[in-house]
Amino acid sequence: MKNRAFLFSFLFLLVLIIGIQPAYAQQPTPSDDRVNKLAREIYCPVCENTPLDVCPTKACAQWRELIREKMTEGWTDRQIKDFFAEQYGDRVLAEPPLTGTNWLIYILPPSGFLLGLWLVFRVFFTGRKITPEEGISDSTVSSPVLNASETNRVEEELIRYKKR
Amino acid sequence: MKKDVVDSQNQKVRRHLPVWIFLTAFIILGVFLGIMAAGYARSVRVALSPGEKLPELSLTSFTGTTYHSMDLKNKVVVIHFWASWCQTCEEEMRSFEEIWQQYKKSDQFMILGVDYVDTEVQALPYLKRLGITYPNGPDLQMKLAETFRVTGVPETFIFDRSSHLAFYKIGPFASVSEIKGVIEPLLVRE
Amino acid sequence: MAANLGFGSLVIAFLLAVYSSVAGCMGGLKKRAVLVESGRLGLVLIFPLVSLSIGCLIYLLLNGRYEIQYVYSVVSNDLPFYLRITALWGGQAGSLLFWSFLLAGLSVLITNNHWDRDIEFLPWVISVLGIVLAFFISLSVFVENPFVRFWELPDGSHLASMMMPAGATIYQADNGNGLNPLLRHPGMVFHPPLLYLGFVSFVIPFSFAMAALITGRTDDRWIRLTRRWSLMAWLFLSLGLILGARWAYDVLGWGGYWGWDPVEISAFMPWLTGTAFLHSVVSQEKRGLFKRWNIILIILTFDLIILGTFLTRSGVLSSVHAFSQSAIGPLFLVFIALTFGVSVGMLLWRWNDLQSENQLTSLFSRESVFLFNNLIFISLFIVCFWGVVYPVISDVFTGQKVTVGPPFYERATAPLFAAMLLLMGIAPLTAWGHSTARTLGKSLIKPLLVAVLILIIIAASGVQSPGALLGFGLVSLVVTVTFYEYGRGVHIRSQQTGEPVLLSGIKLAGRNRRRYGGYIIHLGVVMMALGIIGIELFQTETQGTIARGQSLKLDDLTISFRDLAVFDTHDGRNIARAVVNIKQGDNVIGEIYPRRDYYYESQQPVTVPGVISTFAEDIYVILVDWQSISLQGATFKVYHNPLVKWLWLGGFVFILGTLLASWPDLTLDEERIIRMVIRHGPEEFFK
Repeated sequence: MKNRAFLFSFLFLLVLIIGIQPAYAQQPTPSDDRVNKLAREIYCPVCENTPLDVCPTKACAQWRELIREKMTEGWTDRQIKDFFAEQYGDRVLAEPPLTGTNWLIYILPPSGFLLGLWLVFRVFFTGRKITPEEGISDSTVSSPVLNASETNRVEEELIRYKKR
Repeated sequence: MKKDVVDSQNQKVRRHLPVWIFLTAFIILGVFLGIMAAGYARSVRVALSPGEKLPELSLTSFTGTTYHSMDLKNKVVVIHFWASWCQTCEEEMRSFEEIWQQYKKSDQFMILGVDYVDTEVQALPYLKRLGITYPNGPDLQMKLAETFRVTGVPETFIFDRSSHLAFYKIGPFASVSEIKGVIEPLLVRE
Repeated sequence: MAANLGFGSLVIAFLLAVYSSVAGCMGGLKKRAVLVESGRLGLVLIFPLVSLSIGCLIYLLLNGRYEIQYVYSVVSNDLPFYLRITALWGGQAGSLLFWSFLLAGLSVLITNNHWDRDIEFLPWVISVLGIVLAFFISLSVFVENPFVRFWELPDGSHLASMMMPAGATIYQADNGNGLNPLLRHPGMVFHPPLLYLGFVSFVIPFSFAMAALITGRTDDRWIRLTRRWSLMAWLFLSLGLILGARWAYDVLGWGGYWGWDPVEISAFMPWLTGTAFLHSVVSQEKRGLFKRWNIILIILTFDLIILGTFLTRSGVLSSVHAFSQSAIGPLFLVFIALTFGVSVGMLLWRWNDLQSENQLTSLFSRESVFLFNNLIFISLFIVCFWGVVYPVISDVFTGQKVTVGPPFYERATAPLFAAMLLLMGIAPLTAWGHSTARTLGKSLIKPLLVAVLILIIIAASGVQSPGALLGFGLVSLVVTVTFYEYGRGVHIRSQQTGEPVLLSGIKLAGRNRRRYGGYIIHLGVVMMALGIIGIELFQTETQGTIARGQSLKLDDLTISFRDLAVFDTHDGRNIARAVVNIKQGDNVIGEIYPRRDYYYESQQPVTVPGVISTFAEDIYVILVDWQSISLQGATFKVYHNPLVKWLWLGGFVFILGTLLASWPDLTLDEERIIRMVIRHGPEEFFK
């Protein structure tokens, strides 16, 4: 009986906790590792170009504390990042968010690559439009790789040339 | 082998990229250079310079009051940037508080503290510890820091009653009297 | 006295540089050898003058003459001897002077070469070098003068000026600001000079390219003449970058070696275009291809070098804290715009003379692989350039400040690096000219099978991440292909000549140093790739605050905190030094001493990690924080970086390869004959 009472109260507590969770999920203090993992993706404006997890300034230590607090309050990583962006501007994010003209930054490098690829293939494609005899002559020109005996002969010739 | 040479001379097939592609690429690079120059020009601008007009601004204080630049007309306005992680700010803020106590009754004087790259959880106890009562607010999205081209904290901007920048200082004021020395003439002057 | 001497010789050097560029130009136009020779002598004279100036500055630095502004800003009383010399490039004014010094030295070397039948290049090379030198020396003379002194005016205020203001006396402080503690690392002794040397050496191929355009000698002569210079430039630049990475790993205390910082990237960009150039010129030498493209690449590299010198020095990239407010920025931009505009103009002028002699026939030929290689390097360059420039664009046009950080670069460059490895795997097996998918496939199949076998072994040993498997697979492909191709060559040679295999191996590599040097470079790159894959994909870290005697766990490591001591040193540091014991499983593998040095003078802390480094992994411990003595608790951050040592080893192999590739082998005439043989076939030549 005692056991069952215990079980019931336990289940009751469990339901209570689960029921409350969405409202106030008081989580255990998050570890340094969790904080650092998120901090790595945030840039504090006082230390230029240094991610928050390794920045040694006091301001950054405070920011990390804030992250820890928000985590304890049950905020998700996404929410915390959005909070920081809202408070201090988009520059705190490791990458520009996809708003306004920022899509440019993600579009340009791949389109540059594709343009380059197109140019390279264009060189081949137009290169193919050649007359038949041109094709033949080209194959005769295509460099014969010298084999070892030929290389030796070239060298002998060179020595002779030098002596002259 | 002769044949080959002749062949490549007779060849009329266009097998190279047209000039315009390179021209465009070069022009784009040139434009980038121009942008770099503009960016450089922006980055070397130092703080707001004396004589400039008080920029449009609004600051919502930690207590929830919003201050607009139009509310600050006909007043001598001190806008100073600080942060709770800034050690040299402490003494200066105490001085500003002393000034505030002396002048707050005058409707011609205002101090606004702008909290720069700081967290509210740290800022509020900091203000409480120093006993600061003049309005302070967070610099949301660092808009004010950018408008005033702040390079660090503490930095102070003092505007005269016609809302022109009369004085600015990078680094802390040394004493109450130093601050007074700046604002008193401004208050007297029409 | 020394300051006046240094400044005076700089002024003369500047005038000489202007004279040389004008004399070279006039001599070239009017075909007056006397003028050219006087220009050349002027250029040669600049070096001793700038050396004298550098010597004066070093003298002032060594003696701690704090009346000199530059000395005051980089040196302090307790700075050791060797750091006083390195302080020469510890600040802006000194490093610009150092730049001029290096370029002046190289100018002497290049203009004293045997010119023989290339004498028509000389006036223009002199002219270009003179212009670049004049620009850099003028920066030292007019804007960033390292010899500016402090003066005390009659009213007691102080002023920095070269010339004595009326009624002023020299003001000398008792102690200087001292060198930034982060720069007090042996890596800093070599990193900047090598980087600069790399930067400066690329000016030489550029000057020859310009000379080729002006004279209209648009064959590959300019490339052949400067091949070794380009390789050396590239070697120094690579070395500078590697040492910079090593310095970051040792000093910055973030467990990494490369942070995609805009300043790093601006040194990386000329390396990218320079690498593309080194590969692309081979196609021009062998097949007369891509002539215009090569000129474009060298122009780009040159201007990126100037831009890099500017960006790392001007502070345009950092939005809040500008490094300097000097007028140097506009001058750099004007110079870049002018050189870029003029050189592109000359390229367009010679556009039609720069026709390719051949054409690309096969997608699977060597030249086509080089073309794809260029595509990849240029794409990498675009990613870097765009990432650096976009924040500026965003700021200028929308007023929105943004950060473009490592996630962007990693995502954008990872596939490109993978494609680069793939090309490295294929390239050695391709042939010049005509080559079909079939022949390529045939030679590829054996090494490919071996690579797949290696990959299976790696996968069986527990590696699961697809990225890592792809990386390791590509690495093993490059390694097997390289050795396979070399082995094949050695085999054929030893069969034909009857030499022993080992001798054949040495002779083969010695005969074609550039090719096999290139292979060694590739192997170095692959080793570096191994280190990068290790740290990027398998790095683990943990942080925790523990009391003395307690320990942290990470993977199979136990990190125990033994002791902590805080003490002052003679040279003005306060050191907190922890004793940490590392166990792997049950075996103690070592004791390390992560430190935090606090420099009283500059009020700056430096984190010195404790590292245990093996071929398999680095254990990298940072002392993040500690409580007061009584508590004896301390916060440690521990990084477990697998394979990272291969990054540095790869760097060594890389250097070896570059040295082999650039080792002088044949004289230019001999080379010409060999090229004729290759062009026209051996039968024709021996007839």
